[in-house]
Amino acid sequence: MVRVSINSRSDFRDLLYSRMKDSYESVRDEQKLDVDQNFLKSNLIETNRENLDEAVLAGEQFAMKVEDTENQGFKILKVKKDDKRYEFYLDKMDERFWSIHSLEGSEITKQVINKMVFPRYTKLDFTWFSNRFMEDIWREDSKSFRRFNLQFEDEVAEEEEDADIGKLSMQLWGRKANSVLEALRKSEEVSGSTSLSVVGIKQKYEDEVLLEDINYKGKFTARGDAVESHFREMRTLRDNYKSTLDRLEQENAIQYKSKSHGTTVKGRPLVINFAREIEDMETFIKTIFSSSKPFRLWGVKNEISDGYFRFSAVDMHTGDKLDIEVCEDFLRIYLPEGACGNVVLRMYTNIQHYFDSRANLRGDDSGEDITAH
Amino acid sequence: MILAKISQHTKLTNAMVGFSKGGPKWPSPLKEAGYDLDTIEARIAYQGGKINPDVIFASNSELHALITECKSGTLSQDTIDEYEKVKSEDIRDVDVYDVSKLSHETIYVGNSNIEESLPHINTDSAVLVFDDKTLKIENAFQETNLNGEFDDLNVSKIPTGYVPFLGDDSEALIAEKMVQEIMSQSISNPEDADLELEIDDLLDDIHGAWGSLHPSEKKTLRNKAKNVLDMMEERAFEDDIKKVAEADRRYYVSTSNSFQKMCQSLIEDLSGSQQRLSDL
Repeated sequence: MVRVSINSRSDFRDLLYSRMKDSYESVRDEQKLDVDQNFLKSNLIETNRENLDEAVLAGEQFAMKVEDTENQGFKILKVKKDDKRYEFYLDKMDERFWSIHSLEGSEITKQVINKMVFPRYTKLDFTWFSNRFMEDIWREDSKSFRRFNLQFEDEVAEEEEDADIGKLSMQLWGRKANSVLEALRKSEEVSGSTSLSVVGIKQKYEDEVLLEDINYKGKFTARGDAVESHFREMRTLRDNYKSTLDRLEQENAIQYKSKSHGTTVKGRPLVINFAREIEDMETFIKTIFSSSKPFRLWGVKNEISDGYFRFSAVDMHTGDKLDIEVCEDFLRIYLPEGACGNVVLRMYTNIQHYFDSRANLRGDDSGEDITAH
Repeated sequence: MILAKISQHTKLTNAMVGFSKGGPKWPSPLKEAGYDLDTIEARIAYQGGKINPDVIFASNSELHALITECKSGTLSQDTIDEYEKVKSEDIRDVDVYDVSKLSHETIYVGNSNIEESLPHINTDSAVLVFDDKTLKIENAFQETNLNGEFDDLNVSKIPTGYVPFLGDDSEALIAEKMVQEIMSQSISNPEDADLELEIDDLLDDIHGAWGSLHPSEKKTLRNKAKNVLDMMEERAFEDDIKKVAEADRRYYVSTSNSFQKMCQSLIEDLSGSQQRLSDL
């Protein structure tokens, strides 16, 4: 790939304009990308760090150098893997969210982002978009809908053959795709496996166009010449996501305050309701509390009454504690004051992808999913 | 297999706190009637004595407080007589908009034990009797808005996260929270994996109301926490946790998966010894 010297956000936007336009035209005219042409991939990352230091991507395979630009908060990440060099761009959108942009191939981009996010205590995490959050992307502007993907894998059935639906993967394009989703969700057998993994939208601004695919881990893949629309879309979803995080960290987090005559307790637990009953609690527990991805939760368990378990858990991303109770039809989460609420959205979204896509997350008496906007 | 049972006292306190919180999967009759949680582990000084009710709730609209005593065992006439000495002037720290007009009543909360003591005591106070799934109320509330709010409640799957444990709870239950804290600190501090685990700091970190607990309850919990740490040391988990300095409680903790297994087995062993004691 021919490297262009980037020293500011504006340089980067110029580069994107030409690359995104080229890739859009290649696909539109020739139905394929030329060699060295890649779509823009932007990952919306939730962070509890002030800076990205080079140690985040260090190891046998990878090395990274972080270079400043004219714009504070916009950095160039020069990554080396197996003697090959790659370039990524880090844009600090605010103190809580970063976008990491890439025009490199999708495989190396995925490797680099995973390597940054998944090790313990990186204080970096994906943004986890629930089914409801994903649906709201197109429900707010139904004309923009282009496509969606469904992806579900039953990780809780003891054996694959025991699962009603072990894996479901489906892509649908076109204006009536939404009707197919509604039909699937009416089916008793399939409805619990209809987890949205990608939503594709098309936006037109006068003579500019943006084709954007948004996946449930906050990855935005864009082509077209409406570069600013891509950034606007990211900002909109960042704002929606942030308002959910704020709500659960401010209204639900359990806070203890000392008073002259005792201690008061503010906040209340969040509840993930399952439409599917947990039949194999042991496997469910092992799946969630194995410390491994995607849940990344460490925990010790205690069965406090028949079929009712309590977990004293730790989020491996941040080291924050959280307490969880689980029984056959719901899971209750106590998020302590100061803990990162992203762990709740990670757990919820992955439960939808690996156990029950109909699960919902409630934080109050309103009956609304907390991730709805 | 049920591991470390949560004491009735802790369960009842949590259940009552939950009644004032709202949200799904646990009823909120106190919230519905306009009551907020004022304090847990409360302290009230009255003329001639002091009491430590488990919870106080207060309603701004009714200017009324509920002083709540949770009992895992029976209820004695002495306890009732003591609570009856409290005047509304004694609870002036409760958060309502006009505390000079505050009235109050005492309510008692328990299980079958408290129900058995009712024929032997003389009280007009409301008594809430929990069993596994249902709640019964003996005597009406003085604040009439509350009557009817508690009918037909499903009280299975009590939330247990507001008050993690109390003095009555087993070492296993306290160990559960201690290993969680140790793991949390170890993850958050990977550059300097030596942890200094002072008992009071640890208990303050794992119990949100530690500062308000009665000194005798603190003493009980300190002893239990110390036993847990001693048991961890005795096991000499070379790869998981080991003492760095003999003289103080400084440890190196590995946050590997085997540490999780070690913690789980410690809790199970402590639960087993609790079970054997209760069998005796």
